Amino acid sequence: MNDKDLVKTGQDAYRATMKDGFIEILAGFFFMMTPVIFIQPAFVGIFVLIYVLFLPQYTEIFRKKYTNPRVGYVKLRTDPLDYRPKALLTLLFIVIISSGILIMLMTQDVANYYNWFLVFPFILGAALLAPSAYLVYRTGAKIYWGFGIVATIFGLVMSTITLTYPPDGPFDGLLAFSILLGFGLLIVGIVKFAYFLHSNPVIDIQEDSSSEQ
Amino acid sequence: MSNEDRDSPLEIDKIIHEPARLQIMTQLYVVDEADFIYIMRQTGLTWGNLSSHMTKLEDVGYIEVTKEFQEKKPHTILSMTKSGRIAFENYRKMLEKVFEGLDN
Repeated sequence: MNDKDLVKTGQDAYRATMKDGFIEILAGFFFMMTPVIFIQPAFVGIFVLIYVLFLPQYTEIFRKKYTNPRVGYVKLRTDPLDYRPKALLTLLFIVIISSGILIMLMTQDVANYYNWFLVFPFILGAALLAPSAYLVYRTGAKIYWGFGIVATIFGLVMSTITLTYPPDGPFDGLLAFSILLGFGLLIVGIVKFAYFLHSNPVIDIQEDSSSEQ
Repeated sequence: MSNEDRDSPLEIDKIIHEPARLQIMTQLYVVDEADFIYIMRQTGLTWGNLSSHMTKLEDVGYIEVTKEFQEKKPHTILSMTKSGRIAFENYRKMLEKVFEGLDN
């Protein structure tokens, strides 16, 4: 029983909480709803109400009904977040330089601040490599790199399109990116949830019956 | 459970040393709490085995067992106590000592 075994067991536990696809569904809704605040700031209150007051409650109800009877209930330890500021600053630096290169390649006008708004999809997509790395670290599953990589590539494509065909508003590209990314996550979450239900039947144990031993 | 059972000359905690209980303790060490189904799935133990080992661990105070009802069904939640955590850490240190000095 060494440290590696314990880390792996901890990662197994974290992975078990991700199996139902609920996190992807929530993240999908989050990305799809965020543009609404941009368009109508008055929705901030509703957004906060949903995410702060109702979400924890409904998450618990959802998991009690669908997840726990299939794979069991586990409450993870709340270890302090390992921010790794050096890695985050390096990522930020690379993203800014890459954005500058992208603007130079597409418009040759890096001094025009409007062009920087147009690369926001790429910046946001690349920033999502950070939570992606966190998930890989916590679950031990390299597949979570996929989220960050897909978001980065998608952001890059969106920014290239908006730099080529500048939209009316500076944030239009970012809003479209957020909605489409959210939609993608929602679909992944729903598929994952359907697979979860299919591959994990409800375990019905009679906890009050007598022991086998 | 007498003290002799729990402490051999090597000071290996025999309560934890049993493979099934070691699995249960390991699972509970890395989380805050978990229910019966989760531990069953992760350890591969049957209901009866898990129940039996759970009782032994509870008796020595290494784990805490909370029973509640969820949609009219009993729901058992297990968590490691502070003394269980200390015992598990001591067990790990003891094992490291046992294997210390071995080249391979």
